[in-house]
Amino acid sequence: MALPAVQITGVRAEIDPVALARKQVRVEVSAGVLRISDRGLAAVLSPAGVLVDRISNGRIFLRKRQSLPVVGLVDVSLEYHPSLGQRGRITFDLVAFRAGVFSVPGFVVSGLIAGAVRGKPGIHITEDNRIELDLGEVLAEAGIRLPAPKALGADGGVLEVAF
Amino acid sequence: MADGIRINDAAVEISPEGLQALVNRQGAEVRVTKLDLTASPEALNALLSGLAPEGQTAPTVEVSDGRLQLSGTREGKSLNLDLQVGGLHLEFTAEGLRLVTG
Repeated sequence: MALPAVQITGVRAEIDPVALARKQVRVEVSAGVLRISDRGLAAVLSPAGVLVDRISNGRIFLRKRQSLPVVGLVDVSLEYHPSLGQRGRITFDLVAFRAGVFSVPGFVVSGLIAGAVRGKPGIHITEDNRIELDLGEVLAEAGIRLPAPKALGADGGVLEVAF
Repeated sequence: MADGIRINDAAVEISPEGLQALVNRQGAEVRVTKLDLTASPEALNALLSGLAPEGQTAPTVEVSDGRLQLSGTREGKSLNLDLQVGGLHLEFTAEGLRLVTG
């Protein structure tokens, strides 16, 4: 069976009954495994015209048809390396890119994806267009506290984060 | 955080459409595929207290091995429910919910 967009398994958590009685949610998660499939990533990125080629060998391969200065409309291929960053965030580093046969500055290309995800919940863009995802921040809005991620993997079409 | 409701194991899934809605803050659609949850008597009483209509005394619950006792008063009359059934099994069927003892 194909993976859904997001799958969370092995969840262990405490729910505050007093908050629940007040119709509020206060959940403290102590463990779990989050899997985001290539379909899930595509669901987030496709509205911005970004296609997900694959997730494999610790890399995320993306593609975007983009009009670039001087060279015009080209297919830009991007290779991101996800890793555990500081403050419990997941960092996405652009490690390789290609814009057809043209030579394009790296900052122009990295800005393409940064621009596509900027403003999404939990997304932080650093000055050098590195993308950081803070899942804890996303879930805090819903009253759910996450521990810092312990392990991360990207292979077989899935980005996996263990808490 | 008050002790009481513990998720021992759970699994959830989100579809691509549900994820898009979540990211765009247009709603949520989550499918629960596994749930193992424990609620202490204190947690159950906290919930009952919160759900009781204002001005009314909330019923209280006691849980022991194989037994659940619910006690309350309404208009000066006491109401007691003593479930000595070992456990309850809740099934989702085409006809609706089915709660079975044992």
